[in-house]
Amino acid sequence: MSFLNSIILLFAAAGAYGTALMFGTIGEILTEKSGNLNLGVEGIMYMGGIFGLIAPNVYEMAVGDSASPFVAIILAILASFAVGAIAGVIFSFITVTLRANQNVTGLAMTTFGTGVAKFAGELRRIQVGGYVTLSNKMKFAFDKHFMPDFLKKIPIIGKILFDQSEFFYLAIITAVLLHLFLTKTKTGLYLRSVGESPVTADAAGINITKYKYIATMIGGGISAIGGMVYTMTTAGCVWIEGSLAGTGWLAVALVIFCTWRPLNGTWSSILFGALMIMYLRVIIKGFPIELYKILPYVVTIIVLVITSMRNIRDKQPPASLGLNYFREDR
Amino acid sequence: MKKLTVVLLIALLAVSAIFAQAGGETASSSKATKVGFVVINDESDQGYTWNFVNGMEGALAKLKAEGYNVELLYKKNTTESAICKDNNIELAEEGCEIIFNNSYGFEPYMLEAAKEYPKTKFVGMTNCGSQVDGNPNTYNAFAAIYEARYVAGIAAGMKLQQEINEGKIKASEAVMGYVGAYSFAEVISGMSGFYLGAKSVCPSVTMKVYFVGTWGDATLEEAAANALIDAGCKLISQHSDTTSPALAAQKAGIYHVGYNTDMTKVAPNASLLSSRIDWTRYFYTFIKNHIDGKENKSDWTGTYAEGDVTVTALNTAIAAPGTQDAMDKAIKAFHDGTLKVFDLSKFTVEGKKGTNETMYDSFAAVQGNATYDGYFHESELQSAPYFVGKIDGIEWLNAAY
Repeated sequence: MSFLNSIILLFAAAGAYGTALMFGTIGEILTEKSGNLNLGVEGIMYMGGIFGLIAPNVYEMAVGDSASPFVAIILAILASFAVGAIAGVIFSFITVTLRANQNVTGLAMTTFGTGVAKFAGELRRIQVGGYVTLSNKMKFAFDKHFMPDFLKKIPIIGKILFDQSEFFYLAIITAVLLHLFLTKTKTGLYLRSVGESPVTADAAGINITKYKYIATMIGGGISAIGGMVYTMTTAGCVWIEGSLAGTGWLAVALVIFCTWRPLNGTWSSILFGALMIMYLRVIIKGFPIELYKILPYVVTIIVLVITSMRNIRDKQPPASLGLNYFREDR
Repeated sequence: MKKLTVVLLIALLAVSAIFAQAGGETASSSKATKVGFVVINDESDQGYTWNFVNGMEGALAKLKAEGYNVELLYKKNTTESAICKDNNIELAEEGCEIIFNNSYGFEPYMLEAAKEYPKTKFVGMTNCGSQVDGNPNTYNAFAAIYEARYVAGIAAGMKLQQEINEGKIKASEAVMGYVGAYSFAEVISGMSGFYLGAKSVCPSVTMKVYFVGTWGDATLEEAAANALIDAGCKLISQHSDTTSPALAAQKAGIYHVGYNTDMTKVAPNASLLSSRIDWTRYFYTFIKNHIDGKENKSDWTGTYAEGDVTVTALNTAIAAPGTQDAMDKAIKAFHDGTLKVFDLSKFTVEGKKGTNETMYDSFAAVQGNATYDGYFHESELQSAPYFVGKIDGIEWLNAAY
């Protein structure tokens, strides 16, 4: 296998895990744009991962062989989005309404979400008496590489861009929509102003509480879809407890890596996915796998150092990120 | 303030009284005991620990039917850290007379506790230190899983040979992929057994191995399986804990052989069968001997002939015709003692006939000569595997320690 070919195969293979990361990252970007630093992405993705599987699992068991894969996919998306949104609302209630510390709340959300997911997964495992999974028909539907063959056969980019599941394209569409929303719409501008300077936004008559709640809710929902995508594609529609560990934290790191820009989130997620599995694809003799495995984190640190050294204004986090807004403080 | 101090002191006294009572409690009837079980993860992994828990529950049911009363205390989700020592100590303090540990990395912590509680028996399962650690109260147990992997390898080899015979693949394309956890003797011994089983029915078969550097990580196991598939492998097997290699194989339309647990339900189009250790007999015998006041072996090896290792039911919908017969023949030979997995006439190590130096793990706790009578005597000097020969036909794509 030539070197170029192994690089192509590496990035093509990184698409599946990269898609899960993409949703996680895009959701968190939306949340952070409102000034809410939700460190609970790990827990949110965990919950999305199990409820996104339980919903079609319950549906398929109830309906039997006539269950429609399309309905199952919609149910998976809705269920995961719903748990993520609920988590977002809880986070907003604690930090915006009750004004608790965002870091602490986020960490608690991680513990809470992971616990809820493991509990639900174990409960379901006992209920069904074994693996929580779907039939083969559903498995193939959830990871269908539906693009026509002639596109997949385009040299170099064909396999990377077109030999992917439906969720890959959904993630890219979400990223583009979020980009357009943030840069081209008035509501998006308002949202950014809430994250940058809530004082100014408040003076301009923007409802800070409403913006923070809605952005965090939708952001949580999108992140949770990432967990579902992981369970349905990488883990092959099987609940494997513990398999999602660390993914949410990678998504948080990715938000920094892509400097809070949804479009950067697309390629950087794939890059992270590729760096994670590089040790199995691009083998450099004598280079120990421990070093390969820290690559994503090393790259994040380098990006952090570079962006903070150069101090580029549009590459900084939202100015009020992590800070709660007290109107009385003005 | 004074009042508060008094209240606190009384509370402390009350609590310590409760603990003292718990510590002093011993089994009341003569046919009873208290057993502790320190496990990594819990049964929700549906694989490694699940398999241990099933074995323990099977053993306890059997003992109960014979009138033995065993109380079992778990320490689940134990990590390979000082927590493991604490958990062993807590179980010993609770009055457990035997404490089983189910992960390789637990042994150093277990040994620390074993020194402090000389009357309690500590069992390091899948481990190897008991013969040399100088503690009379430590034990080891493992099973000859390479024999079960050999049998599972036959199912894999039969499938590939069928594909060659039907013209679906060329003889040179009969390549298996193996997702290994670490480049340790346990994995090397198992994968070599698997390969030799396949080779016994499909002479042209070769194998590529990736070591993922973790015992269980769905993401990396899937990535390794996919990398093997991209490298041309037509069948995937694994020594790792999750089902993701099975699902990767199914997605690619090829076949799979699993480990620990029946994976045919998650990947019915791919998974042929799995090999697994059945711990029931060991738990049963050890606990029964303990209660009856009999000695237990400090180092115990389970075998196929005794039913301690086995394979799960063959997925006949996809297996090659005649697979069950071929497997049964090998199983019978294990019972007769006529089949030796590491028969020196059946393989070479780096182009030459295997020698003790090229096959024996220099890191094994017990050192000695296991190469005589024409075969390598795996798991006889100590229960934990020590075969590390690099058999020709198996290509290591990386290594992980």
